[in-house]
Amino acid sequence: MTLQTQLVLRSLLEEPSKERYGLELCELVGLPSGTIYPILARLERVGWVDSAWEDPAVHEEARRPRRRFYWLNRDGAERALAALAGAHQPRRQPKLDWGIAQPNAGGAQA
Amino acid sequence: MSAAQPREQMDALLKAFRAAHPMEDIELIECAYTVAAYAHRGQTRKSGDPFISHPIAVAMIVTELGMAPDIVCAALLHDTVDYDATHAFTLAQLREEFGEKIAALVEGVSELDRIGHGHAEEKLRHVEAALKLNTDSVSMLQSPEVVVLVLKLADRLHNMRTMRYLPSGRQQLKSRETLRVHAPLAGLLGMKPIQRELEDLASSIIYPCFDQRPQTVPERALAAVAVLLPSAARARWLQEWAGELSVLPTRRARARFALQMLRGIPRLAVVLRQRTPHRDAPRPMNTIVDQIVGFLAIGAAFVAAATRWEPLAWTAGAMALGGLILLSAVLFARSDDPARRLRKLIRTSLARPCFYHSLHSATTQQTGSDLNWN
Repeated sequence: MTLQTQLVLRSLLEEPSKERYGLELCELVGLPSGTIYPILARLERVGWVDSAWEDPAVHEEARRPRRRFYWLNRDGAERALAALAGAHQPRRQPKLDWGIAQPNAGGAQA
Repeated sequence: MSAAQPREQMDALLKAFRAAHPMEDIELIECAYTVAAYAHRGQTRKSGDPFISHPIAVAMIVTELGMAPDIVCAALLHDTVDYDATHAFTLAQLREEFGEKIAALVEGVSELDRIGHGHAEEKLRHVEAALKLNTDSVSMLQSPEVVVLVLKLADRLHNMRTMRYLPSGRQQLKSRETLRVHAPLAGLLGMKPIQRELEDLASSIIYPCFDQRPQTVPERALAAVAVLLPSAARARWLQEWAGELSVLPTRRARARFALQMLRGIPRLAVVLRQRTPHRDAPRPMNTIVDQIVGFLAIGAAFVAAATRWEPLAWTAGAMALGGLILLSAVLFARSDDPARRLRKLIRTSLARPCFYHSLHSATTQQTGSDLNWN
């Protein structure tokens, strides 16, 4: 799981019953929209997150287009907690994997 | 939707039912059809079709959901106790003919119809709350109250599919109710495809103008790149983003949202096109290819959004889009091989400059010797 996904899950878990829309999550997590929506879509595809359109009465009263709300379902909340617990160890510095041959790699081990 | 004769429609239903339940007896279903056809004889729908086509269609939806034979029967009979029917049966008659369970289901559905919209909604909300509390108990999902809801949703789905024959005021009313009550309920019951279809049908009636040309530059740019998304999902996401864009206060904020989103769309397209999503932890993607596609998407969108008919700009746009399509092809391919080959290509072209290579080997040598010293 990527760090961004973890951040999104954490902020969804803060108030699991609260329904949030995409822009709200962008601000809450502090990640750009282009990162948040694919994560939400993936979480929805794997069945952790559910989504629905806003009630027409609410957004018409506020005179704006409707929003799509997202929330963690029960199953998703449990799985997210488990996954976050598993991912809690500090991550190693990611290695630059350009696969460039390291001529002296053998010598280092000797 | 029309054209098919009731008998042909019924044969299709029986065929689908046999495919789903090869061992089950279809006699009861035939019997339910006969009773329903008698009850609705001479009655027509707004579309001009014989009324019986509606219960058969509802039964078809229920069959496609893999429901048991008695529920399919209840679907066929769901309007027979209605006072509108040519020959309305009483519940006692149904109970005698089809047994307690089917009669109770028919009663439940017609009760939801009868108690009026406000009350029905209240009742649905009540069950919804109960479901939210224990979504994972299977017994709950097989309880008669929930089966009644499934029947009601199937009924609503077919009504929404054939809605264009109603006066437009009623279309609006029903669509709003569908978006507010039925679609979320379908989602709650785990019937995602039905939720989506209900949402799409209702949205296309409430927001008929949405599919028209996007107005602002950010919307145009998003719409241009959204071509990458699966066509079924495109409208939903564009509408969602149009909503977010409209609440952003400044032009700068809108531009930033759109630009960031443009980079994200290719990634979103990959997510939506993945065939079998894992139920466990979501996987990260190939980041290098992802980045390149993102930047190309921005380039293509810029050109697509900013130009009218200048040939030069169109050529540039076409080149960017062409590159984008090529890279997407790599991303959407089922095997990892093309992506790996592309990565290898990038790797070799980056490894070629000697200075980088020598620098790299020098540092490794350095650390290597350090290690030896220790």
